[in-house]
Amino acid sequence: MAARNIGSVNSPHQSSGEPLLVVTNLVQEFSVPKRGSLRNATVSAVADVSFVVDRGETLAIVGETGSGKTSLARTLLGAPPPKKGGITIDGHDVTKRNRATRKAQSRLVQMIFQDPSSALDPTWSVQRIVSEPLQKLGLSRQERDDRVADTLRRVGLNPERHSRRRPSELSGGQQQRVAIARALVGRPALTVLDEPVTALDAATQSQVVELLAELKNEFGLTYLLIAHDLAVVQQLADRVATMYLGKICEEASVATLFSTPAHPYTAALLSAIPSFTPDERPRLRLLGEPPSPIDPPTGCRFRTRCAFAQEVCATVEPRLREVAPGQNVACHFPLGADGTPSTTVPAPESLGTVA
Amino acid sequence: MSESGAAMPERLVDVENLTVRVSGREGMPILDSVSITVEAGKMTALVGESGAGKSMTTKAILGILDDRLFDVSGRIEVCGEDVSAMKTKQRRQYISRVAALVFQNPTRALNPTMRIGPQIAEATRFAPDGPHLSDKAAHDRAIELMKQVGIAAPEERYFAFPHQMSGGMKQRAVIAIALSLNPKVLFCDEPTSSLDVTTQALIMDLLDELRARLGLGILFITHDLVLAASRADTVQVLHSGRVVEKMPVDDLFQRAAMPYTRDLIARVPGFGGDEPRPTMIPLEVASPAHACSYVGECAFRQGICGTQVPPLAEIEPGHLARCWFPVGHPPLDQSLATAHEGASIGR
Amino acid sequence: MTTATPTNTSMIPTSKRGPRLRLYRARAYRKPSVIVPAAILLFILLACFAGPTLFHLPKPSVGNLSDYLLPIGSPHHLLGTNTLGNDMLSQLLVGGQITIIVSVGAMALGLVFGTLIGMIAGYYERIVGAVLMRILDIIFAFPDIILAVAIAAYLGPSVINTIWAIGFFNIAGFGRIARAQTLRVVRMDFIVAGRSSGISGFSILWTHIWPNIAGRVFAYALIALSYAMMAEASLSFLGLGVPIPTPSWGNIIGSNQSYMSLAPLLIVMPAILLFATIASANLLADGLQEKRASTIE
Repeated sequence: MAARNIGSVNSPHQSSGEPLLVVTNLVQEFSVPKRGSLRNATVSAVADVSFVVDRGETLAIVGETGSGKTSLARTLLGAPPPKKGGITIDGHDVTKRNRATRKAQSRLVQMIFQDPSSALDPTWSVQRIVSEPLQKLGLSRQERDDRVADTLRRVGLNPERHSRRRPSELSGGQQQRVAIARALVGRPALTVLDEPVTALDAATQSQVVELLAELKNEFGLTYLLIAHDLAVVQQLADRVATMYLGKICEEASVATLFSTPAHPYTAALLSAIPSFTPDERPRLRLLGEPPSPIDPPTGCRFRTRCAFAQEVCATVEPRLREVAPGQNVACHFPLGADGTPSTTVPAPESLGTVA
Repeated sequence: MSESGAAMPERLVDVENLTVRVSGREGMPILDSVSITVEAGKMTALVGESGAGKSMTTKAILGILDDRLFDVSGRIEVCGEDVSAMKTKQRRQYISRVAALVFQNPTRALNPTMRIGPQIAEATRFAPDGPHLSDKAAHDRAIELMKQVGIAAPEERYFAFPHQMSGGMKQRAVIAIALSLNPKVLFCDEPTSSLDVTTQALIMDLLDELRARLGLGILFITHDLVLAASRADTVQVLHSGRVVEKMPVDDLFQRAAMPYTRDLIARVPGFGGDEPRPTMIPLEVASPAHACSYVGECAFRQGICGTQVPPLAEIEPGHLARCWFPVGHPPLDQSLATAHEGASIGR
Repeated sequence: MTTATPTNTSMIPTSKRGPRLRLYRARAYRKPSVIVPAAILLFILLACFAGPTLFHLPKPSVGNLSDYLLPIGSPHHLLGTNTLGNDMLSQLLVGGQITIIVSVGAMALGLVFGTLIGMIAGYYERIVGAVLMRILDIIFAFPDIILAVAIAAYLGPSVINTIWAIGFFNIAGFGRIARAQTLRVVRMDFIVAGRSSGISGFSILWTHIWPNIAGRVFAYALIALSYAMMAEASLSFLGLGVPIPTPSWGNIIGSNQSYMSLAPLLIVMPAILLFATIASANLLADGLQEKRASTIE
């Protein structure tokens, strides 16, 4: 691939028609010590996940704790690299770890973390933190300082006043602003936002969400948003994918997914959101408890908690397929507009009999 | 919500003019004449941002504030007895029999080195007949509690350590411990904010169920306006240690009158804050203790807001607001200012 | 500048916060539990290194046998002499120099190599880390003083060899501390952020991890210093450490043990110095830790 032009700093990101981020059959696993055994057990955090994100688009990935969404985000950053599968960002295969990709990485993907107090080195000054991603870009000191000051100003901080502070001398909201500045200072092609406002209090949350939306519009940024707060998703995202136990259940535009979810898990997730208006759709409750990712259920991973599960769900894993324009679902019995399964027979596409 | 006479449901918590100050410090108190009621089988939500005094209120009611650091005044009635008059030891004993507290973080509330069943069983031993319970009886009572809070397969779970359980299960265990002494009222301090939405819904379902089945009264502390609106019966909004609005839950999103409450609602996604806001008039505030707590950011402020604390006045039956110019209502009679400063009127 | 953001920065009066915070940090050291042991250590250090030249003391090993066992307060011999007529004050101060050099050297050896190994073991957790830690475990498994005795006996008595012998078992201790602290820091998100900016592993170790673990490593260094001092004394006492006639606190005690009943002060004086130094180092470590805990609160 065109690995050459990434060395030059000011080259704009390729603006061809292909998606910015292409993830194909991504697998991420971790081994954890197993009780009563010398051998380690394998946790399947991300299991055969594929999706694309277009330029300037925001894809949100939502799911519960343990759904693998944070593992997915970290895998995109190469920390750690995936077990299997491909990740292409802006035409560069980032699963290959060589000098060229390492050097280009701060221009390809950056992450904004959940907890700013962990994302900022407590022994560094704001100035040094924000300029870190510029280190490998071959800029002069003056250029670097200017970029840092510009970016700090852009995220609502005052370079004169804040750049010599340490993170502990800033409020939580200011810390997250520094983290945002750090991530965006190198103008990365893709920005991964891992629960960017969860650790902040309510008033600061809305300010930071607003800032993220502004920055996105101003610089045409591409976000991959990891969130469990669906309100944040509604504000920032164009498309949403729901994840359960390392698999993508459903993927659709924000409007479609929130109005007519087709996967029972999506529907359950949505009906769990507290609401001040009576629901017109029947409330869907999850059954039981989340199963262990060490030993996920056979067939459809959601079946143990699904109200509509049938025999076939235990044996055949449903494939992700299009049920409506732009709406992909991995379910044998997707829900119709009324919130009940629309079919009684699994569709051949979801069984995988059609290529 | 009629507040009169004999037909009234049993009031489990009845707090009036609760004021908490840092000992020996003049000026703004931490809590300024807070009044709260919780009725049997009902949920009162106490809503506010961090630092508004939500947790301080619970601590003051439960009597777990250090009285060397804080001066507490006001009448605090829990289950028909005035606890503010009791001696510390007696008070704590009484409170522990009738009320229980559920914390925000279940992981911190449980002992990580002890299996979950024995932790619940141990809690049952604080009941009046607790010390005489046989091990078998305590075990059975723990299993019973675990069933009650919806822990599946309690006999097996009995021997699980907290770290082997999901966050939702841990919070259920904490609730089981809270129920171990058969309390009449639960104080829930942000019990779901460390949980996923799906788990949050299940825990809230459990609280609803306990309310209906055991007639528990619940004081639900949260910063989440929508959560409060979806589950509570009465909502009280706390700002800078003052109750600024108190209303039946149906009024919250429809007819909130205090500008602070309305600004909180505008911050809820989907409520975009489209309504036109008047330009703020410049205002000097001499002393915060004698001004409305929201005067600094209020779009509707007038001169009096900076000099007189508005009374908590009933603007509609059952709907009280602490505001001189409640939105959608005629302004308060300003002659009330000196007569009833800081106190509740209209009742 | 656009909406929403400017208010946030102006709301909090942060302008005075930075300097005040740093001032507070400096002040946090100004308390008896830090100042007293630090002052004692400084005094001993100054006395040992500047004392002999400042007071024109005689060389420690050029005594005249006719000055055999002079009592304390004798003219020209403030603390008396030993059985060979050597000036005790000079012996103690120069011996202190040797003891301090040996223990600081041994500690530094452990600090440099141990911390380096520990940091690498913590950062490259998988194979490299496992191998390095097993090696450290093996070192750790030997009773430290016996290991030092064995090495010292093998290398033969000399100042440098004593440093090696003691320093060697210090490596394992520093390795453990550095690895545990590195593991703590490595989990922080700023490490992931740094890596994703293309910063190399070595650079991350030096610029991110070291500043974040340095405090704890130095706190341990004070404790390691007192252990090293004790080890030096033990080795020299056994005749495996600093060889006579070069004095050290350990071999002063060792060479005078046969005169314990005749002149107990010959043993008591170096023992008191040894005790004062070790105790002060430990107390200082505790005092600094205390300060650390209170600033984290």
